[in-house]
Amino acid sequence: MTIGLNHFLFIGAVLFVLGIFSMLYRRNVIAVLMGVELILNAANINFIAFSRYGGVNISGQMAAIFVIVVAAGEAAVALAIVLNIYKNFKSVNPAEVDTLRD
Amino acid sequence: MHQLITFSLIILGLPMLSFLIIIFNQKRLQQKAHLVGLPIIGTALALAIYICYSKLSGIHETLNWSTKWISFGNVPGVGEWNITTGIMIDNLTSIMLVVVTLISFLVHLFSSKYMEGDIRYSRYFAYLGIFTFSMLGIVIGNNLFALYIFWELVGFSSYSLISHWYEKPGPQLASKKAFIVNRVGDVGMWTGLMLVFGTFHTFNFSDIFAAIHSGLPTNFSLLGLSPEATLTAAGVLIFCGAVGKSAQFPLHVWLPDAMEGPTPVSALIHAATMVAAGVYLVCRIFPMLTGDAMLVIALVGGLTSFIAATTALTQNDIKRVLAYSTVSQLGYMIMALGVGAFSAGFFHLTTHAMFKACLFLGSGSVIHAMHHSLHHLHDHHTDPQDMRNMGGLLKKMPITGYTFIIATLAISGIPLMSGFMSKDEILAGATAYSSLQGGIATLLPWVGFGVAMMTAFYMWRQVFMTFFGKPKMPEVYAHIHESPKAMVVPLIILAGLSFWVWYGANPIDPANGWFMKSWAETPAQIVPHNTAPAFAMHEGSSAKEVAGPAHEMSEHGKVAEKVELMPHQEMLEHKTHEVAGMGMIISILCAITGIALAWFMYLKNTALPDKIATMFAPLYRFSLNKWYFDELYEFAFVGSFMLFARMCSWFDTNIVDGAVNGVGKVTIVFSKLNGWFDKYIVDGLVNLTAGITQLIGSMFRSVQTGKIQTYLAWTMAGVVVVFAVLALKML
Amino acid sequence: MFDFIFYCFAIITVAGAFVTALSKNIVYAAFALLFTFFGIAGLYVMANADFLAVTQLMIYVGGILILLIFGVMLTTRIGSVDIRVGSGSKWVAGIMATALFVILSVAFLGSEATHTEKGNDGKMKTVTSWASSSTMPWKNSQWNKNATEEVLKVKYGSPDEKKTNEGSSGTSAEIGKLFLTDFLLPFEVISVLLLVSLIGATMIARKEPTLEEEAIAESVS
Repeated sequence: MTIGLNHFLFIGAVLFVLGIFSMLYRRNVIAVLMGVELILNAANINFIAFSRYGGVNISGQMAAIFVIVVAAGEAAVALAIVLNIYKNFKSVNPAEVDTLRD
Repeated sequence: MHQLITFSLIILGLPMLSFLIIIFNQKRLQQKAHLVGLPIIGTALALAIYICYSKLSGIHETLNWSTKWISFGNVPGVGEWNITTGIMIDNLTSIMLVVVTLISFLVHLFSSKYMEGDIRYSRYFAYLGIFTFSMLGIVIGNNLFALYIFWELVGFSSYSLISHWYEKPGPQLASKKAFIVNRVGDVGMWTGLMLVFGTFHTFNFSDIFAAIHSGLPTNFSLLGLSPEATLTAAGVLIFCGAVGKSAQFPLHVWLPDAMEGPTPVSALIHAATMVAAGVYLVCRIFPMLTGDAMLVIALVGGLTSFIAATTALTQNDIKRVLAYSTVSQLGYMIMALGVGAFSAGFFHLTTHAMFKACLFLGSGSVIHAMHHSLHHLHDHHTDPQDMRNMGGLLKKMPITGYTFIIATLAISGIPLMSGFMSKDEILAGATAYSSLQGGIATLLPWVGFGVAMMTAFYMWRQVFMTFFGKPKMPEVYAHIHESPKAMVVPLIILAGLSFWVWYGANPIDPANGWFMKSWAETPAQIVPHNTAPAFAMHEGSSAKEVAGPAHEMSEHGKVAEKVELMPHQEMLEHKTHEVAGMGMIISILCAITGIALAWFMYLKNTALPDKIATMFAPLYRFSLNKWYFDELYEFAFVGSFMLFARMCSWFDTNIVDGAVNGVGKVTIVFSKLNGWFDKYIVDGLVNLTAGITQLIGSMFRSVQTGKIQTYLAWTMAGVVVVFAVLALKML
Repeated sequence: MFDFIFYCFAIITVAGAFVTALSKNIVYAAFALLFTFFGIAGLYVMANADFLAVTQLMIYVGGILILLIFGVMLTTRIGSVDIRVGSGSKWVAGIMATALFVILSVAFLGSEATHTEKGNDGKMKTVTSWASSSTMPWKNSQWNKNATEEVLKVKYGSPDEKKTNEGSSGTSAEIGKLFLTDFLLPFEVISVLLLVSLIGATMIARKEPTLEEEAIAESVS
């Protein structure tokens, strides 16, 4: 079986699912962020795959570039937020940051 | 404006000034209030004497000054309609001015010592001021409306002075009684005023008299009565005011109770001036009194004097005896006016003011001495006013005693005294009237002479019990002292004024004395001829009957010469002269009999009164309990009122409340139904909604954990479900 | 050869991702993530996206990952219990992940659109019938119908024709052209967004000076 679209999509699916798992399961905000990065990369793989095998052509790569840029910004802002959370809650466990409930 | 009018206005203002100064400086003045009151009232007295002297000696016409007070504008059917007020000074006014200011001044003087140390000393003087103001207002007004206003002011100030010691229940109740009983009379008076005003559209005395004289209008009618009967009714209704204020039967009950006030107040208000206001009112409306009205007035006066005199016989309280004596003497005056003896009535008013004020102040002096003696002995249970605790005081209090005896001589009607002159004239007038009128009026002279005898008896009984005999309580007697100068000086002055010399040269011929002859002339009655006393008709009238009064009336109040009287007045005057001599003799005999009886019973044979009391026990109790008037009123008015109130209450509770409650119950039942519906149907629905919401809320509350990961899990679950559904559809 | 290399990168990527998601040690997770990113970069190369592969390495490995490791360092005391990521609702996470994976797999495996076949000329050819396929769930959606067609419209001609010319030149030139032509506006917007997010990140992360410190700073200046 030659390498085709489905292979890429499969890898993307695996990364996406692991990212989701990470976001739901991990008890460290940094790890959660890593999950987010995984999801973004999964999306990027899909873009590239469709750019290569689908009809989207190179504009898929453009989209991937934008995703990377947004991911960079996201990482910076998210880490800044994590630092503040750590400062205020003395914890990076998202389960303990539940003031939103009130 | 005439100079005397100005002066009279100043006199009116001065006591008000005193009132204002004292009432606004109560705290500052404290025990010095009399220093404000005395000079002010003294000035008023001096002005009053000047006015009286000028008026009586030089000015014959009535001084009248009016000013527009209220303008009703152009009233349909009436035309221009104004109420004027003003001042009228005739002989009556000028004499009353002196009487009022003089007694007021002496009472101020007396009170300055008598009330010494009282907690409301300054307030007391303030109210004396406003009382004097009100009384002067009554006297100088030229119309019924102003008179009525001041009349009510007098009632108010009397109320406040009686209740001076309002901490005690006695003065409280007495003041209320006085006020309310006076109101009863005033209702009648006001009705009379409205009756007159409604027809003649004026309150002015002279205008009313002129209107009546020019013929009664046919619309002058009360409840369909003829104009003549209505005139009688108007007279009697206005007289009702006098019945209240002058304590005439049946409204005499308040005056004895009013003795709860300070004794100088009793002297000023309840002996000399305020109670005289009623008599003064009758004097003022005298010209418009019809024959029937006069008969009513005479009978009321006679009955009052009789009732009061019999009650006074058995009283033991020194002030109560004087109170009943006052009621009795007021009855005399009213009777005098009723029988047409105008001059005699007014004469008696003046003389009585002097000697009764003297008696009251004398009794005040005695009470003061008794009180201080008891206070010295720390005895707070013995009544300082009870004559049974006194006796032999003449030696300890010579000035009080002798002045008291002089005044008693005057009231008993002993020759050379003022009381003899006035009383004698009243008796003569009553005799003349009864012989002319006949019928029930024949009782009047008998009543008159009987009362004269009883007066002599009970007054001397009082003198003997108080000033003669052995002291009943030796320890108290030992500490009795003569009162201070401020208190005895008024007594001396008043006692001096009780002699004949001020009122006429000849002590046994008062009718020709200057007081009656020229000072207090009988005014002509201007009532229509058919309403004059009946005897004038029978006698077959002279030509004067037709022409005389018309001429007289046109210049009423301005004619200096002898006014032409109505025929019946002429006849009365004539008859009075006839009977005067005989009346005088009987009067003296009555007085001496009374005095002798008192002497015999209370000095000579002191056991006798008790024997008589037991022998005629019912009569004694009847008199002692004041004819059971209070009880009768309690039963008849208060009792029936209470009965009526209870009936109303029953009606209210059972019928009105029943109906209301019935409606209420129906409403309640309906409301309960409504409430049930609301509670279970409407509220049920609402609660159901709320409950469901709450249920859902509580179900979903646990979802709101605040944990991002839980939210994310839910989101993912949603995504899974959506895709699952789509996938199922796809298959 | 191509397939082998692909599978190598794929294994590196997936294995790294597994370790990242499941490792209890956050430092191991971060390290595993490095491998994932590297593997992805390789996959990009396999898919003819050389420029993106380089970018991936530069930005993810050189930037974001370093950032994440800094975050780990700043928020976690090494050696303390806090470094353990703990176990949360494993079952929930597992079920969700599995369900999603099944759905995704069904979506692309069951779809005709994603089948690639070897064309007659021996080149890989994607079956393009998916654009009109009724098997795509959103294809029949009222909202997306037109949008989908627009997006999927082939703009640059046949991908196969393009690819033949590609071999040596790489994608950088094409991407550069596109940034300055059709994608100019998104390019500018994204650059502004990046700037804003960086400034915002500094603002948020900045330590709030206390009042005393402010006073000191003022007095110094």
